Amino acid sequence: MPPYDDLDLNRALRKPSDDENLKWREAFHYRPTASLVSALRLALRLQQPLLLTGAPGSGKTSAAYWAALNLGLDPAALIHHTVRSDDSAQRIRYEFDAVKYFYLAQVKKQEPDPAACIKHGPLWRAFEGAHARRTVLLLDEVDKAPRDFPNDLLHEFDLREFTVPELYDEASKRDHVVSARGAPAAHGLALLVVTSNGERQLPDAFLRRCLHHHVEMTPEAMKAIVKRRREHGALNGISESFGDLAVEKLVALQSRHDLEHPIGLAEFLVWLRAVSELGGVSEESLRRLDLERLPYLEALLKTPGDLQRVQRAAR
Amino acid sequence: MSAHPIDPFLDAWASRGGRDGPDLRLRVYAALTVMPSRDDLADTLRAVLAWSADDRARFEALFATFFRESIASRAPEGLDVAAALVSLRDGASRVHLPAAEFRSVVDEPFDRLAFRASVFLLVAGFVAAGSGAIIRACDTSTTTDGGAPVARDAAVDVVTDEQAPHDAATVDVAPTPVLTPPTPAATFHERVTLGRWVGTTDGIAPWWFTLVLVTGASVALASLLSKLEAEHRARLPVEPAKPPIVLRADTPASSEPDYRGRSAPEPIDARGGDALAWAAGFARSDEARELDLRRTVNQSARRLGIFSPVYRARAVTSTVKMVLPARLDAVAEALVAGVVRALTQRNVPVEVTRGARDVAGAELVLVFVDARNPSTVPLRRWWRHPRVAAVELRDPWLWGDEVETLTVEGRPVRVHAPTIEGITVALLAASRGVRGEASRRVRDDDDAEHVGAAFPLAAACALCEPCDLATIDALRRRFTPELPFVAVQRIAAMEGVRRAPAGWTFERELRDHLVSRVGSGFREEVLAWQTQRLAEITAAEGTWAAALLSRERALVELQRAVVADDVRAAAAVARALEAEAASDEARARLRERAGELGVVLRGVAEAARGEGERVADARAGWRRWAIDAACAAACTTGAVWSVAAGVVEDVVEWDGRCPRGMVYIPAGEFLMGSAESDSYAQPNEKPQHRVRMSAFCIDRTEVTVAQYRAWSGSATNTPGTESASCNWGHADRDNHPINCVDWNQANAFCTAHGGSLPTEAQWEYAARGGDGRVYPWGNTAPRNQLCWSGGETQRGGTCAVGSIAGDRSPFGLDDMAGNVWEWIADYNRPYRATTEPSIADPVEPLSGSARGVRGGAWDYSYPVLVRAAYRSVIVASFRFDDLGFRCVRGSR
Repeated sequence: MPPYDDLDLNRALRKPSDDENLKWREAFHYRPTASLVSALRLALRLQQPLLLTGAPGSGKTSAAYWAALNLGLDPAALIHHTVRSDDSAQRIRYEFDAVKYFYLAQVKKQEPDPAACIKHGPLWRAFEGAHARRTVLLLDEVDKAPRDFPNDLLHEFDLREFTVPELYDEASKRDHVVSARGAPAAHGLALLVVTSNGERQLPDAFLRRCLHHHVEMTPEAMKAIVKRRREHGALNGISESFGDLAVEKLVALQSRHDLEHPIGLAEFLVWLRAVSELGGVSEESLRRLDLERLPYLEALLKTPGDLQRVQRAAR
Repeated sequence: MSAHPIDPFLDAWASRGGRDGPDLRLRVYAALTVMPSRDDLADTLRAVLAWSADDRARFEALFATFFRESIASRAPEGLDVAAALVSLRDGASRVHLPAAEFRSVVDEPFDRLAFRASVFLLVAGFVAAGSGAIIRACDTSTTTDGGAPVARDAAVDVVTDEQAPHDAATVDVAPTPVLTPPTPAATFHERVTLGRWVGTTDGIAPWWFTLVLVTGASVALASLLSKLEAEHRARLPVEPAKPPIVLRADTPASSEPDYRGRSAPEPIDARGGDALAWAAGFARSDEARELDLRRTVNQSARRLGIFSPVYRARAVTSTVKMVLPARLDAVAEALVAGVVRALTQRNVPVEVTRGARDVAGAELVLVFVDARNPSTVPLRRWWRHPRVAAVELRDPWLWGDEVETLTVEGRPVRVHAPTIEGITVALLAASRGVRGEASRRVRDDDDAEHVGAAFPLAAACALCEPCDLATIDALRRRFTPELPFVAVQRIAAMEGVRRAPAGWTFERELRDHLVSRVGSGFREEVLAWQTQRLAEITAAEGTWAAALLSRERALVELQRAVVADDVRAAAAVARALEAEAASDEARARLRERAGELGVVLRGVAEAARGEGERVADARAGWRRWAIDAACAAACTTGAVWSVAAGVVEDVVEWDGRCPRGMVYIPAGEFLMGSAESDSYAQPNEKPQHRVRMSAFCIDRTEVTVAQYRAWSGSATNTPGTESASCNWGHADRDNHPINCVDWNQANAFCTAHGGSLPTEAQWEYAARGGDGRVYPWGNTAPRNQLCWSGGETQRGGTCAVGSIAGDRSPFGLDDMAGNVWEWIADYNRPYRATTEPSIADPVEPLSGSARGVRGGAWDYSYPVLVRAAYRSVIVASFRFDDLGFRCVRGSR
């Protein structure tokens, strides 16, 4: 009976419906490696944040979605926040709308309720939601945020709680506390996943508090993903051997040209979809073609430098 | 508990530039606790330690070399550790369960194989005889008997015979030329069926008779034998399938320490259950009958080789009846259910009846009464039952002293607390007639708030001290998971906590304070958990689960032996395990590792000893802990059981009051000398008088040749060798008592070892205890239970000390009767009549050259001389080959 306590690679996942977020459908097809599952399980059991690193498109975000799916959680139980470059730690917790407060107090002349002026951030929603259901919090691409951002969240990550000075309780003489702790055993914040593309070196104190896993995008993993997608009816017209061959070709392309922007899973899948829907390349021709003359290279190569380099080599 | 097993790896990691620090280590320990599988080891460590691409590369390299090397170095070459553990477990299951032990006696190769072989030989013999007959018949019909008239139907019979040579209806027999040459008449009838043959009147051949008779007899014998065997098997106690015993609490109920009051019954953990079962007679109830081998052999011989098993009965508790009031509150119901479950799991037959029904059939009655509950009043009539245990269900802390002993129909009945200890004591008192003391726990929660919610954790740490970070964190997870990490800091900040690299320790007062404030159930749970954890972290290659099973089983037995203070039984259990452990080859390999493991185990034992003195309920607690630890280490590392046995022996024997090898004789009173009514009594043993003794220590055995040799430096101490029975200088008699020593040598030996020879009163008290028995073992006449010449053996010299088990004194001393006379410190004057009620520690001043000797020796055969009260006297400078000594010391 979901939600489950632990991850299980063999568990049949709930198939997301078509109107659900694309991420859920991707997660359904996602196939984590055994060592990623170990890391997720460790984070689950130790109740500590897991930092996933890896090249873009290597499936870090999907891993968190997959974990939520595997734990049998509803879509609403996963709180996904993609960190922005102007995010502050405070915003992750909550935002106090001082203007509204002022407006209520001065213009409307009423005793304002501070709680009404607070906009809950993802941490708040995850911590508070943890008392009602099992939740997963995903802070995506944390390396995009300012340098202080992760350090400001150390306390929250450690103790899974934060205080809200705006909501001071006269009776107990304490600030209001939002905490994931003390949730019923069946609920609670199951996973706190943080992902990073490695664009920025994260502070040591933050790293020290996380568990780490580096998602490698190996050819085998890519092949497995292609196979799984085919099994679920995606990628019409792509045979298994064609998929495997394409993966090998791309790996060769990447290693030959030492691309600035490595070809991720996302690019690869787009390219495969292009091949399957637009046609134009058969397995035989793919085998014979030079790497540099592959069709739809634009889908694979994201920077002008990479594109130029490959096209120059083709001449 | 010292370093965590992963520490060497972390050290190596740090030395190669990896990040290190107490927080990371703590996290590694915690991670390994929650990810116990070895398959996840690399992933788990990587997740905590490797933060960057560099880290990852370094980690992979280190992990590969480190673990490949360490695994290679840990496993002895060619030894299949898993297989060795499996056979250890098999051995344990064969040796340990009493029922299984019983069966293994029957399944001895001799009984079964001999039986099978004899049946097989009989059948084979007849098959051979039958086919021989057919062949011969064919031969005679074609060659020698070619011209003889052959009846037509007889020829048909031959065909039938050839088709079904084993058909019992057709007995075809061949004349054996050697035994009886065939007569012409016989040749005519050779191939005739039995029925036809019987019908004929002429030519009856004697060898046919013989064969038919032998056949019949053999078939009868075989069926009889098989019937006997079947019957025998049917009488074997059948071991019911039972769930494997695990070291967790039997009841998953609250692991919350119950220090605030009795809101829930105390959970019965595995040990509590064992104690209950033991008290109810579990150890004996499984061994309802045991095969008496000697009488079986005799009986079988008397019955011409027919296997005739003879059983001897034992004192058995066949049924424990629990009588309950018609209604109970929920807490009491849960308690009763727990007791029933614990007992049932351990094969103790329990019947629960409610209300005042008839319990006449029960051998042991456990009555639960409640003074506040009027419906329990009628139950009190069962207190007349000769073996009844009464448990009062009211809260123990509400008891007044006056209700601890109630008088029912003029007879005082002791009631016991509704706790596991209380019920155990009650059962023990009822089943053994031992007068138990109900333990009453005083609980006090006014100090609980000092460390707040961290209190139970602090108590758990105190129980496990020295408690390293990994242990603390694991304790936190197990017992107080709701506490955050920071709670540990709160404990660290307490006054009286010392933080050392090996772990935190607590000042004695603080420790006692903490420990005394938590329930014993919690204490037991923590200790059990610690034992289990020890087993887990020393486990070899993930087979700890299997190892634990055998360990648990061993523990049941060991605990029984230990509680009964039976050192030898405990050691024997461990040895038996070893004997059964594995194939010769595997055992030999294990033996090679014994040295190294011995060090480990002894370390464990030493640590346990050091710990022991600080455990609040000292004796039972620390001993059990030490033995658990030793067994855990032995089982989980696949160690040699003899090493474990040594440790167990050491630990159990050493109780802190006497030096190794000595036995503590508690202070007490006894009647010295012999009563007037004793027909064997000598004049110098009278008058019998009461003597008060202080406590002292005395050698468990007579001083051995080896012990004496280790000390005797000078020529004046050299024992005599005038007789062939003098043990000095015989390499094969190291374990025999030293003899041919005079009083001065004996006295010098004891003085040099910090003691003295026993006074006469000490000797007699140690030999017969306080219950007025005649011989050390009791009042049965001496036969073969001691080393003397009055039994079936005529002795030519001393026996190895302690080699004859039957002469054990009430305090566990060996050879207080027989083997060699023993010098005592003083001269034995006639006892004087006294008007005082008792004399304290009498000592006779030395005078002249005569010295007392006691105890009889190997070359005597008069029962009078081996009585504990018998006194004799010898000149101090004489030396005899039947005279040795043992020493005493003051106790600590």
